[in-house]
Amino acid sequence: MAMIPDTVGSAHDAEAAQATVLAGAAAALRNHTDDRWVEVSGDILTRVMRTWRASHPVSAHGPGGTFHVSENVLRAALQRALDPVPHCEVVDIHVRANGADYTGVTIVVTAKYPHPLIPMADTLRDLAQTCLVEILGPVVPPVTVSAMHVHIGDVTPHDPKLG
Amino acid sequence: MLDQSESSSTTSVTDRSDVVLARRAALGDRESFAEIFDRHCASLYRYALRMLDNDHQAAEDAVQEAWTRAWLKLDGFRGDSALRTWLFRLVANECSNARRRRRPLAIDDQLLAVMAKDTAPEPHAHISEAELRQALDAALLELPWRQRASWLLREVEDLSYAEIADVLQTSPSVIRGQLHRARATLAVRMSQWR
Repeated sequence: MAMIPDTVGSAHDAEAAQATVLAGAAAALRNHTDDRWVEVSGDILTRVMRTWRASHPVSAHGPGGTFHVSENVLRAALQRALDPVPHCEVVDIHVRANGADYTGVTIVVTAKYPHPLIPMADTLRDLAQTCLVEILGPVVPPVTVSAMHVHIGDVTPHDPKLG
Repeated sequence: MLDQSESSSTTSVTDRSDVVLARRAALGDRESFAEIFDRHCASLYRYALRMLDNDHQAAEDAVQEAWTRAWLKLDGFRGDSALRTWLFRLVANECSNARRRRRPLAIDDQLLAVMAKDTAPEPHAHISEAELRQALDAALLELPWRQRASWLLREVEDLSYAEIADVLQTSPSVIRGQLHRARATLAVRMSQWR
């Protein structure tokens, strides 16, 4: 019968105890929220979100004349306008322009299966058109499938708004 | 026609997955970005603080810079890795840059000495969490940068080897080696707490 010296057992015990201590220390670190971070995190978020995201200008026409709207402003406004449409989630928006003149938009969505896609795409186009006219003025090309393309990038049996 | 009863107004931002929040934030949705910040900011700061030798100001600067990059580059996040892994990569890069910019400091000889045992040999159960955390912080300072990063990401942040390799831009087998050495060093350094 093989004899296991006591030192082997005690070495294993020591290793196990050490692993327990380290796991406890890691958990202590994980559970701890630094007081200073609690104080500064709000300011950091504010400063970060003040950072300007560069994007192309798009011409708009209002009573005061012609002005430019950032493509990012258009994308954010379209996302907000289209968000209430059920059974789909807008995943990307591409604004097309010739120079600064708006020529169309592509809206990429994930749709819930088996919800009918064509009525959903029509609703998205109508809402997008209303939103664009509000921002750019009466210069937007009429709603056509080519000028305002709704691309179904994915379908899912789950709620696409939750992911 | 919109069916308002089924509209997204009933969906809370906190219910959304990281991927959905990232897409929305990329399109300019500030509420989604704030939710991403709330979910991950504490762990990213915890990591930065330890990687920058507990220098609070440096950690705040690194984390702010990383979040600014996240805000600007979310458009390019394709979901190939988890959002959390992507954010850790941004913070790890900022910490790495901050360490490179630092002037070397003279090291206190005491840091290299094995920590003296407590005069009162209290059992482990009586050690407070704060004491244990402080001891760990001191022990982590002795680890080389990559070992420290690997250990923190694995044991504290629970990232997989592949995710850590992604964050630190190396291979999982390198991470395995770094973790082995980090664990061995920390075991010696923390031996008094057994």
